[in-house]
Amino acid sequence: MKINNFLWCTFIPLLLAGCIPSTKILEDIQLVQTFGYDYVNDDEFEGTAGSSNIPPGEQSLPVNEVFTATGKTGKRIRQKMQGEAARPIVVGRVGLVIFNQELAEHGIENQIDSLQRNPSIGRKLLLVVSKEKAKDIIDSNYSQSDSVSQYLIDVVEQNLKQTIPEINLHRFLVHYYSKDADPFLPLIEKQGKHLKVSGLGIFKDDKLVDTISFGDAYIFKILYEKFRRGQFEVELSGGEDVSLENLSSKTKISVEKKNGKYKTTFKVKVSGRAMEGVNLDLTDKKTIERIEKAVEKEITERAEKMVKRFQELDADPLRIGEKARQRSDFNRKEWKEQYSQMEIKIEAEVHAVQSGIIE
Amino acid sequence: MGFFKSKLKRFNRDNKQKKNENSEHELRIDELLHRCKESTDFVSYRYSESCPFYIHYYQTIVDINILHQYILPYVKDNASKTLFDLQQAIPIDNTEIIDNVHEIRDKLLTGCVVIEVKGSLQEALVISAVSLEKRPVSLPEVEYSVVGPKEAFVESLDANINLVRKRLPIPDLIVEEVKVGSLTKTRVAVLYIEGVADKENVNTVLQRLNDIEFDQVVDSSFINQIISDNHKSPFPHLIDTERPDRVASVLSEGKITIIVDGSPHALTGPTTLVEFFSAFEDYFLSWHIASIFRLVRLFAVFFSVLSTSLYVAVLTYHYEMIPENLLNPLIASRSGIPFPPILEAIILELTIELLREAGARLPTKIGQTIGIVGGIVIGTAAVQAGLTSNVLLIIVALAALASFTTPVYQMGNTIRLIRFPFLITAQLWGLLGVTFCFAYILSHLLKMTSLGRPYLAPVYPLRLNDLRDSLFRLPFFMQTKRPLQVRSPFPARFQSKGHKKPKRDIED
Repeated sequence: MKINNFLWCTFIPLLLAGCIPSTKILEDIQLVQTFGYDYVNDDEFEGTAGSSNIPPGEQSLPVNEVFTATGKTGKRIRQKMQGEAARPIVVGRVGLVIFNQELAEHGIENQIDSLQRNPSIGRKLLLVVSKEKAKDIIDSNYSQSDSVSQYLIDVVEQNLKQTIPEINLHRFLVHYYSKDADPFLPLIEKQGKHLKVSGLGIFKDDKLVDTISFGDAYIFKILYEKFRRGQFEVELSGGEDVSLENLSSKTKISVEKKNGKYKTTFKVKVSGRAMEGVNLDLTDKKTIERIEKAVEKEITERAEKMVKRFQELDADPLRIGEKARQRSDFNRKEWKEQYSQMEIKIEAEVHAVQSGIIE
Repeated sequence: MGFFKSKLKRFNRDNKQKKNENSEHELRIDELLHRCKESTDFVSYRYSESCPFYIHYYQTIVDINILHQYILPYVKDNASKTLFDLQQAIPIDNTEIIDNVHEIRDKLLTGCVVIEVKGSLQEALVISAVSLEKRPVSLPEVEYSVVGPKEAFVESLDANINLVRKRLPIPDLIVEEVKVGSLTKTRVAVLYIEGVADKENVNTVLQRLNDIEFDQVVDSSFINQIISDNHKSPFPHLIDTERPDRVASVLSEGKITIIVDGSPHALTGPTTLVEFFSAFEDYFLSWHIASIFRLVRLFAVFFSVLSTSLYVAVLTYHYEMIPENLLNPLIASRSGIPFPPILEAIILELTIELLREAGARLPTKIGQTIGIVGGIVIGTAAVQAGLTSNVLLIIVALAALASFTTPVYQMGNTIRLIRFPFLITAQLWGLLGVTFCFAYILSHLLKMTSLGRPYLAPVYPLRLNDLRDSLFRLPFFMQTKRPLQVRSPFPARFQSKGHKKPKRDIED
């Protein structure tokens, strides 16, 4: 009996040895780290894969290598790329996917679908919309020592933490498939030898409908999620500039329904340090209050303007609909009808905590 | 094969015949002496013509001083005429008049002087005059500790028991002696504390020792292998220690110790897996430090077993798992190498094993060169020649280093051995293979026993009380009970109101 068990345990796995996954040895594959999609015409699109070749040696710098192909499907494009690659192309380490603005305006459903179906692609994948052609962004040199793909990923990743709301494939899909919210993506553009995050692209379903500026993206971030870092600059009534170092911000969305009419309130709480007021006496309580008032006004005005714009587009990237759905008397049909005319109030409450280390 | 079989058969038959002779008491003293005289170190003479006593002994195992000072003068003295008179006269307490020839033979061979009267063929006076050749008690070499006692066992059984008894001066410490090995007749002592050790464990040990069918037992590791619960297991079943303090400590925990004559290592059991990773120095340090060191050691074991196989698995199958920042250095160090990761890993692992084996076999003075050869020549040159990658070299070196942190040498060997199945399964099935191999070894450990007691004890079966001295070593006042695993009939170690009692100064 004992021998029997041993045989089972040892030889059955050996028989299964034919079922093993194929080996992909790290240096024998072409790792794609960024991927870009460009608009060609309504049927076809152009795909660009950015990868790097790393020559042997400890101090060797990676060499940028770009593959481009045009086709009707992602699979076809990949096949064409494989034709010119020395090693098998794998997509398991893609960190950034760039959609050209023109393509995004025509809809990115096709590309998103193939991304979310690929099991080797992680859910933390970053998606961005670019003003230029995605190919131009991937196939160029930047003033940095790392590989191009790594540089692009680092720029976007860093901005997601500091200045624009955090978004990745997973969150995009949540918004995309939700009936009560619309997705948004960061907007990037190339400026000389640098890549720059320049705002947010607002989507309605899978189509890009609007872009908002970098400054507004920060307001968007305050309304969208709570966070701890960042800076805010306002001009006081006297003409002085004051910057507020954000310590923490928190937003509460509340949706009310009275007589079948919806009403939404954003309660924004920001507390920050007042810094860099050149001609101001920051130790004075009155000055601090003045700053608080000014920032409150600034946030309220800009946020209201932004929300109004979203209502005009009938897009809901701030997922107010998701919040409204939590009500037991939620009626999706009524909500859709009312969304663009609904009253949305912004209530900002700013608290300037400190004025620096010297008092 | 047939030839050997027939030879073996004849050997067995001869042995049987001899046994028959023995049992029928056919051997007579003069025959025995005749046989002994074939050996040149056997001495047999009469002191003078008038003296009735004949003296026989093996001069190589008898202490000549005892013979000359305490035996010969009384034999020479004509006052005593019979063996009984002589026995009374000789000032040595360990004397006997024996009429069994086989017993006489055994005594003769273990260093006794046999005195007989010419003519009486079945009776002889046997006087113990064993010459104890032993080296002085020295520093422990395998289980060295910075603080704590610096005594280590020596080869002599009596000296070793002496070292233990000095630490446990109680009449309850029982020593039971068994002779093992048909040729070597090695003395094997089983030590335990009556009332603290479980009688069943003691009987298990004694029975297994009595059941040993092997002709030679040279060292305690022979006993360890022969009486182990599972011969197929690569894991050691009993802890092998050279520290008398450790032996005294485990005895008082209710465990059993086996000391073998001629071996400076004692065996203790029943034992558990975690005990193999506790150095005895842990008990000399404060409990916080000891606990951290134990955790470090356990981490080292996992690192040593898994690191190379994970490297192979990840580089061969799961490139998705490598962090982005690590990709470039990894590819850069790998890209010039002509071998797949598995070959690279096996080459390096074997090199390390070669270095270790060579270092262990060579005399210490040449052994130092091995370090230079290994470190500089092979390490640097192999990377520069593009045979292995820097990253793997670091991993393998760290893994080898980690495997040496295991305080029990046998366990360290086992850990180095089980790396290889992990490597092979990692190559065959990637991370799935590593998991598979891990589960296989875990299920083996779950099933394993040491002297019939569970091997993975405080963890499975879960013994919350025993956890206090397993992964961590908690302070002494918390260790109020003996480990449940040894099934001690007297589990409480001391009565204590414990830590609730405040420490007092002399003024109070």
